[in-house]
Amino acid sequence: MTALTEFCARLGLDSIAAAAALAAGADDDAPWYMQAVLGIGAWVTAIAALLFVWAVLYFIFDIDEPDVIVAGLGAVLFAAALWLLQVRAEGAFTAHGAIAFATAGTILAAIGIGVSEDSLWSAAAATLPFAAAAVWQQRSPLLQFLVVSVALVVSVAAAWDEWGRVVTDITAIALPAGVALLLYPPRRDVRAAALALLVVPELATIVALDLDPGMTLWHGWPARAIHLAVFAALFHLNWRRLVTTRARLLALAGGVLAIASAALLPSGSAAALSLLLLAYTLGSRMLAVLGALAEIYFIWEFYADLQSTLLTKSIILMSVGAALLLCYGLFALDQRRKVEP
Amino acid sequence: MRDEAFWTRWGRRALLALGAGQFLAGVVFFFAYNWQDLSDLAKFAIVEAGLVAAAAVAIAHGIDKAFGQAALIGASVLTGVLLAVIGQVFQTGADVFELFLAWAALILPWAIAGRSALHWLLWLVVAETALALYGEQVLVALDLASWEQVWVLVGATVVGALAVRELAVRRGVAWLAAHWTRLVLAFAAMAILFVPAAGQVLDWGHDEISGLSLAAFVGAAVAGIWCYWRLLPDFAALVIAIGVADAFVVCIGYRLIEESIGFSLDEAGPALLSSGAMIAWAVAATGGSALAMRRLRAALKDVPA
Repeated sequence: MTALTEFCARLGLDSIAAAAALAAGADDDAPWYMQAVLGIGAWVTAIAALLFVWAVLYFIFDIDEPDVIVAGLGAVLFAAALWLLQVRAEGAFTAHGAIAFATAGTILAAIGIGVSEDSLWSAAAATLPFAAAAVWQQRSPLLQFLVVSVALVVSVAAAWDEWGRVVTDITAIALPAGVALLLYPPRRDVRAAALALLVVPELATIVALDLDPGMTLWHGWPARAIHLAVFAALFHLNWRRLVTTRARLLALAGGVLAIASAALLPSGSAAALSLLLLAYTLGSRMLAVLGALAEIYFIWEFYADLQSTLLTKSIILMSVGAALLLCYGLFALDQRRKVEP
Repeated sequence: MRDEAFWTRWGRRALLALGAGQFLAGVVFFFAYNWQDLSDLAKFAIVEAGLVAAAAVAIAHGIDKAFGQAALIGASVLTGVLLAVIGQVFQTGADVFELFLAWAALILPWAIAGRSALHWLLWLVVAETALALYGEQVLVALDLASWEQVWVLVGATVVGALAVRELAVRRGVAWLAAHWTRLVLAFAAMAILFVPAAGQVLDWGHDEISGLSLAAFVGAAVAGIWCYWRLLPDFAALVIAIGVADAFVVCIGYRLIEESIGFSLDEAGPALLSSGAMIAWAVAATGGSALAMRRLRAALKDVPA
């Protein structure tokens, strides 16, 4: 008798269920960079799976335009992948295959409904049950992240198609939801979905800017107000939690940063600063890396923003930078006073 | 558990980095605007005054402290701005690589004196840009080298920088020991070497297959995996090497299937066979990588990052 079977017998537990629970999602607690590698691999496999399904439908079933049958096939593929994940979560190859096929199934459903209805909004709506199922299953955070990402990408595409320039403000809609889910997590683990809410709209903005370089980076006041509210919430959280003068000075610096960035900087940059403040609040290195990369990218992109001259942009950046350096100086001064009373 | 001391220190550094970074970006934007109302003399006076002020602040504050190091990095950035203004005003006609080369040479003493990993990273980016531009504007333009050779040369120098970093840390150079320095250099080296190797495998340039980039990439991947598994155990660095190697194996699979079956979408047989084979290959490659990472993670779980 193995140690686990013995242990379960003593406590009256189902040893098979216990073994499955222990083995479930061997990569669940894997570091984020490992999950990133596996996620990129899953996208590649999902693309190959989509190509294969297209070949089957086109050559064997003579379906040359995606329809409800394709969407149904996507649902079957998704369900089969979830089942595979439930029974063989511990297998590296089966887990990878299941995650990739679930992602491909979601995309197939979106294409099937979207093309037959000739509507990107319908495609986005079709992905919602899949996203809900991906959140409901608790075997694989990577699957949750990828399927929610597909739903977000299709939603962003629908919004972009409908309103064009509003796309740069989508970060302001998704950011509060992602931040709230991470700060106040529900009983079910939704961290991967929350991360998708924080990351995918940022990436969508980057892609949108690359495809349409003339599009303005400036955003409307509603988006600025939302970013400011997120900053204020994070600021409040740090203010309440930290009692020392030093920590409060740092929080005050965050407040100044919030006002300056939300009022002056582009939308993506303001969202990146929110990520940095959230990283500090939660103690998340992953969010710190993502926030720093996004911040560098959006300042780089700010250079090409045609809305204002380089002179205006330089004055904005120098002003924000000087304000932050002033905050840093105040903080350093306080620290020196503590060391040399 | 949130490490309060770490994140307080991180918050302070992030504030300094954001402030200095945005301020310096503003200065770069200002001179890129090339304000016509500003006389040439005024332009030089502003940049040079800023440069002297930054260097003075660094010395006054102490170059071993974070703010002093940031000021010295600021002085290095302003040196690049000064060279750009010289190019703007005098229209020297120099190649861009010469500007970067001069920049790298001029800030080298400050990088040495600064003893800051971030300062060295800036220097390395400037020097590598100079090398890549020299490759493009001289070596490739005069047919003295191919693009592939230039990529490999740039990648090899980053590998060299990583090796120097490891040796220096082993000899007790504490200011280079931050974990991110290893990861940034390892990722940059692997990514730069991956591009020409993948290009060869996928036949981007339709050139004759050359062994140089393939040998360089495979050599770097094998050496990296061995080094960070056995010599200097580091799971994060291993993931970088395994992840890029996984991408390379996927490229090889694509080419093998392309050559043997063909990705023709006009006929049922090749379309079904090639896409099916690609699924199997991708599952095998990434599943294998997942398995390797799991086992290495378990083996290295007691090694501090």
